[in-house]
Amino acid sequence: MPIATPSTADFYRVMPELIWCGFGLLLMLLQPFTKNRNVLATFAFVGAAAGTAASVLAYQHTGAGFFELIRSDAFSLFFHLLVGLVAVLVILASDSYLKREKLDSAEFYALIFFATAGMGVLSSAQELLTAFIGLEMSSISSYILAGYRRDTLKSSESALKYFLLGSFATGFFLYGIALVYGTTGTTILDAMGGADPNSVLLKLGLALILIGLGFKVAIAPFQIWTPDVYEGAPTPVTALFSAGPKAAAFALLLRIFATVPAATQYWFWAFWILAVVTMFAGNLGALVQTNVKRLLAYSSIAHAGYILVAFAAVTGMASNTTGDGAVPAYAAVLFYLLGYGLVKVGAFTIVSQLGGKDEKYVSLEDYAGLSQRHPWAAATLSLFLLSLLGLPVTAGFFGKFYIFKAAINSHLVWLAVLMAVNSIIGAYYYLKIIVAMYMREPSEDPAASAPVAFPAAVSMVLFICAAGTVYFGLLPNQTFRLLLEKTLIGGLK
Amino acid sequence: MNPSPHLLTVLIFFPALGALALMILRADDHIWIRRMALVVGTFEFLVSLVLIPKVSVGSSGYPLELNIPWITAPQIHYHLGVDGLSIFLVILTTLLTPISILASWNSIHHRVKEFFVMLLMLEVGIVGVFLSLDLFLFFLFWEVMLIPMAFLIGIWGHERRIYAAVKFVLYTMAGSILMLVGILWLYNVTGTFDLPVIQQALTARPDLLGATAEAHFHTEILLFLAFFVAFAIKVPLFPLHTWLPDAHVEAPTAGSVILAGVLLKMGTYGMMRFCLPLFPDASRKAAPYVAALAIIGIIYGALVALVQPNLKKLVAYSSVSHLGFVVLGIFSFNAVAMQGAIYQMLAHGISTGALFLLVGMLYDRRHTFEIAQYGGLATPMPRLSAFFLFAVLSSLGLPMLNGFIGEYLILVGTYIAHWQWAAWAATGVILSACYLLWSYQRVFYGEVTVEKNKTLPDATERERFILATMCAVILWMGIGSAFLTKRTAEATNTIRKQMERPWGMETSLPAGGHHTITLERSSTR
Amino acid sequence: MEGPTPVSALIHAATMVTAGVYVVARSHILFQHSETALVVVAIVGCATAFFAATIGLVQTDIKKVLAYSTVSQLGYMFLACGVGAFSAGIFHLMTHAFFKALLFLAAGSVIHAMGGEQDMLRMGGLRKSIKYTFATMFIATLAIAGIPPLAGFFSKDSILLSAYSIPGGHPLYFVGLLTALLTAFYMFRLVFLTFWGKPRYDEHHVHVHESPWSMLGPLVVLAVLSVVGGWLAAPALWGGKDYFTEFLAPVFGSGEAAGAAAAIDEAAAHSLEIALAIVAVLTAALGIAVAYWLYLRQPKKPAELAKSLQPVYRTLYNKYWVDELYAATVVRPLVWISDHVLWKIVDVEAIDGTVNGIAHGATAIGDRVRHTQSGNTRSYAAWVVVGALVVIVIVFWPTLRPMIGMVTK
Repeated sequence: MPIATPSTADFYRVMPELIWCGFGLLLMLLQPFTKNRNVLATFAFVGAAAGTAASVLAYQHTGAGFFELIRSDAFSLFFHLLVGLVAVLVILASDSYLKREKLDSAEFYALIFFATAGMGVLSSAQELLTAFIGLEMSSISSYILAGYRRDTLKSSESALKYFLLGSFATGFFLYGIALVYGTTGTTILDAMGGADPNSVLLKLGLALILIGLGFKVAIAPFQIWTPDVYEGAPTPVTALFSAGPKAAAFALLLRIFATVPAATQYWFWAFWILAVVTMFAGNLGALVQTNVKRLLAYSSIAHAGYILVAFAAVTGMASNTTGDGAVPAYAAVLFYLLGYGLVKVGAFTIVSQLGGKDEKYVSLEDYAGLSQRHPWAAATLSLFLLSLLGLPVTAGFFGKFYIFKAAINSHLVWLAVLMAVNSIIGAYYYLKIIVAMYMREPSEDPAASAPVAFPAAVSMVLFICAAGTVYFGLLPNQTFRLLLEKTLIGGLK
Repeated sequence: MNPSPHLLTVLIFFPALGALALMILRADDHIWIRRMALVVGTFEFLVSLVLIPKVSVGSSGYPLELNIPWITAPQIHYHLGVDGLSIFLVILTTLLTPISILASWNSIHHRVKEFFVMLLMLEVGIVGVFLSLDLFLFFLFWEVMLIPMAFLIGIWGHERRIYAAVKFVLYTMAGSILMLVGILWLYNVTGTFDLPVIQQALTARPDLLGATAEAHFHTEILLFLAFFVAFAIKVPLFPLHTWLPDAHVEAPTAGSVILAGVLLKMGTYGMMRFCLPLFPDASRKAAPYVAALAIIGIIYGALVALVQPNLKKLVAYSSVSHLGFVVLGIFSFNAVAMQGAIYQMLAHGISTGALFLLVGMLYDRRHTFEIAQYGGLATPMPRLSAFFLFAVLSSLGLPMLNGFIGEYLILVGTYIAHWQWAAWAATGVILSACYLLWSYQRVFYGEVTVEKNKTLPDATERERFILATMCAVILWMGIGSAFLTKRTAEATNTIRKQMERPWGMETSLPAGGHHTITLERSSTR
Repeated sequence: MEGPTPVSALIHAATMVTAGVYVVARSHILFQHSETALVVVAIVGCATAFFAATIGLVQTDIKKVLAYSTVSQLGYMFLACGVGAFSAGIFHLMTHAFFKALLFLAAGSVIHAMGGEQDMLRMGGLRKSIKYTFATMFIATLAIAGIPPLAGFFSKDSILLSAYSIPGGHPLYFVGLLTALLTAFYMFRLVFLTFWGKPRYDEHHVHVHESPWSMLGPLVVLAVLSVVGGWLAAPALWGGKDYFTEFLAPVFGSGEAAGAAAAIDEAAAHSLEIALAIVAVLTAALGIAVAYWLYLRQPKKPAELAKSLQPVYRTLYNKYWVDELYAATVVRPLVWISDHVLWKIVDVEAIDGTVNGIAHGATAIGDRVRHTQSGNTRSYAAWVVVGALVVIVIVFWPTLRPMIGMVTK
């Protein structure tokens, strides 16, 4: 029997991951040779950008790769571009942070690369164990990144908690894979089409997979790690966490639910209840927060809930009407992740800049009167917060709008109403920050109100995020149509 | 002159351009900031006047309309239009904005640039709301208008400004998010956000909302509520009114003028534009309850205003009372009353705007709104007192001034529809005279009781100009009302026609005034 | 009456207060459709005329006397409308305008002469010092008392005749006659107190001076009108035409004349008219005589009477406490309810309290949610397990439900 070897096309298909991992290794090797942060940063930037560009190259070779372990299609292109963009932005933004906190640059960037590569694998995985590899790659890198500020208690605590709980969740994930393999005889998603949807083991397996991924995405009640970890991790890392792994895990979930028909039938109530609990847990928890990082962490939980509403809409549709309506719901998820990712990265970047040495200034009082100290920063942060709130002319508005639409299309009026109620609750704490920035006077303490520098790289990140937010808020049409046609109709099925 | 439809876009976005231009100026160049803002506002007002010849007497539909596809998935059009209902509301907005700018000339001293930028952006949102014919666009502008108003209250307001601003935003947003659910439901059912298209679809195919008459009615009620609650919060209708006194008292003068003068009308405008034509049966079913709330609002607002020690809060509650009349007029479904409602919207905007301007002028001098701190002001400030009296008389509906026309038409029309409603509402007229005249007497007549008041300066030239303009408009509206009513007549007729639908609950009114409700199925279906 | 006298002269004599009479007369068609309505108007008018006159008997402020006299005369006008004699009511409105405006302006002149004093008890003997004011005021007083041939006589007489002529109108007539007596009395009381007797003011402090011709001119004009104003209807007395009623005939029709005169035939009507006129004049004369006796002959008598009839006097002096009644039953309760119930309880506590309560509730729940974040990793792991169980239960619910049913049976 001839030994199957991967074709050249296969290597093209994983080009982004190869580049990212390559650059990661390169940076680790470079580290003893140069202490010059700028060199390392430039390398990192080049690598991230190259990898992102390479996703387009990968897209030239659509199809299953490595014997159906991964698939390169428009869907994976979208997610590669997304996580790549997030990586680029985080790398750009973290340079000044690393300088300020006097942390090692090379390993930092390397870990980001490995994490991104893992996310890329997650989003193009066609097969469950490959997905697991991607999940672990991104997770382990994340654990280390969370604890990167070794000498602070909070950072180490965050890393340890993330590691322990993450491993716990991964255990669920693996067990789920095992059960699924047991019933279907394969771990390749495409091949599971003929599985018996009523099989208990299959349902259990998928449930466990959902739990494992749910942890990553911060769905209640698995969101419990999010506030502590987000708060303790270095802020640029939090930026990465809030955007990248979420997107990648949702990508895998989408893939599973789109390709394994057994999946959709039983999940409606699960998603419905999880969506509601997540939204409320996130929004209500955020109401009383005074630490901005924690507040944004709870907000991430809430947004995961909003995305779950779209999932509920999809599964609801599957049981209500013919399956064609699912595509706009999926497109809504993708659009939402895009807008949300940009906004969160931007918001956390501002938080990281304003935090000061040792991240001392991250509470709400420190933001008082920010509009008078740093008008542009305050305005940009307000833009991001308003996008999270869902105010028109921002990406977040259209994201929420598309999800609302999907929910109403499936006649899930109650869910839509609950989502609306949550939007109002959410509005309060976003407004709290805006109110603090604009309507309160700056603190008297000179150290707290000292001007903060916004280096060029950081400003560029903020500009890209803000521009993206406004662009998607004004002209979402092109993008949404692309998502509808290319990634989903052409891509997934 | 034949204005192109793009005039509507200009009307909406010109203040935004002005705001951008303001951003360029130096932050401490207060003089030029104010001047430029005033120029932008005045120019906008003059441009809006160009609309009037287009909405001529007897023109139905939307004489000036602009329809550009914007987003294809889902189908959203950039659809703007003006008709008899919206044109004067737009002009009211564009008139009150430069006046508020002028009124804030010397009252705003910190962050002057941002203040005027916010005012102009607010104008963008409001004009956009009145001109939108696409539900999505309407919602977009509705939300956009919230943030500048919140900032205006929260940054340049008085002691409890943050509480008032946050309350305002959350309260209004709660209503509008529910409205979004309703909008999406409508989209789901008809496949479009476009108002005229939805109107046609619902009229042509009543089964869109439900296969049977009962299901249809049930859905219609829910949709009606989704829209109505959002508008009721805005009006504000009792008991959803408690955000208003706080917002008004804490807002700076310009904010209060725009808030009372225009923002509140967005609610009643929405009721006339959306609730009535799109959901006529639900409107009819809800009418007695809405009327009850409106009447309670009229009387309650007046009584609570009577006992307010704070002059600005008094005027705020008077708004609750006056707008109760408008809602009553709208929900009596009578052509005369609806005309009166539109008229009262405009009249109230000017009268109460004038009152807030005057109260603001008092505040500029003494930094208090407490009536007890005033008294006998007619002696040091005769001119201001005269203007104040004029505004007070207009607010209580003295004939020959604008308030009378609106109230009278509403009462007559409501009487034709339901005489009991009109009887109760008429007591509100008496009560409004009570609190207005009593407060005027306490503030302006009698002896000067507080020493500081003896040397207060009378109205300055700028103040006199603002007030003279407002009073001239009041007088003109009171005498030359035909100019306005002739142009709004078609719009009200259209709305009433749109309320007649097959599968409707037809209410016929025999001479006795009782209703007979029959469910009729159109035989051609 | 607190306003300046020229203002009173305008609005309280002629224009504002007569608006009601005008509306009733103008809508006479509506009123004539309902017998009850007319009866009510007549009785109310009659009662008003009487009660206001009683109040005027004891007032000491010169303007207050005139004010209540106005109310009383308006009662006459309403009485006229109530008995169907609308043009008589309007006629009285016109003549009343003349002499009442004159009275007010003259009173203003007196007050001006006295340097601001309005209390009649502090006047006296002014007829020598302010001759012209006195003359014109005296003419007006004669007119209001109903002395022929001044204006008031014709109009009041016309009203009383109509009242007498309708079926069941006799009580109204007698009360109206009594009121005429009272009117003559208190008006001459006013004149005697003000212009006769010894000056009761300090002549060193108050320098009485006649008003300038700018103020006296109008008085003279009005005095002339008070004399000749009634002559429009005068000819009817000797069988001629009543020009005023004829002038208003297109409005009121000859119907009302028919209504009033239909009950009796022509000749009897005419002699009745003369008889009633004589009775009216005699009544007025009686009133003047009593006033003369009480205030000029026995100046101490009024005070004694007041003391011996204390309760009556006090009631009249306090105007039957009507104002206080309104304040206590309408104004204060309304204000109290609005303040304490509507505002403080309903608005602030109930409605606003609910709004703020929702906000607090949300924050309170948020606080509890926050506490689930204990920081303890083991409890976090427990939550993950709980969540896992929940998800599994949800997914397997269709199969689980019958099982639970079986177990619980």
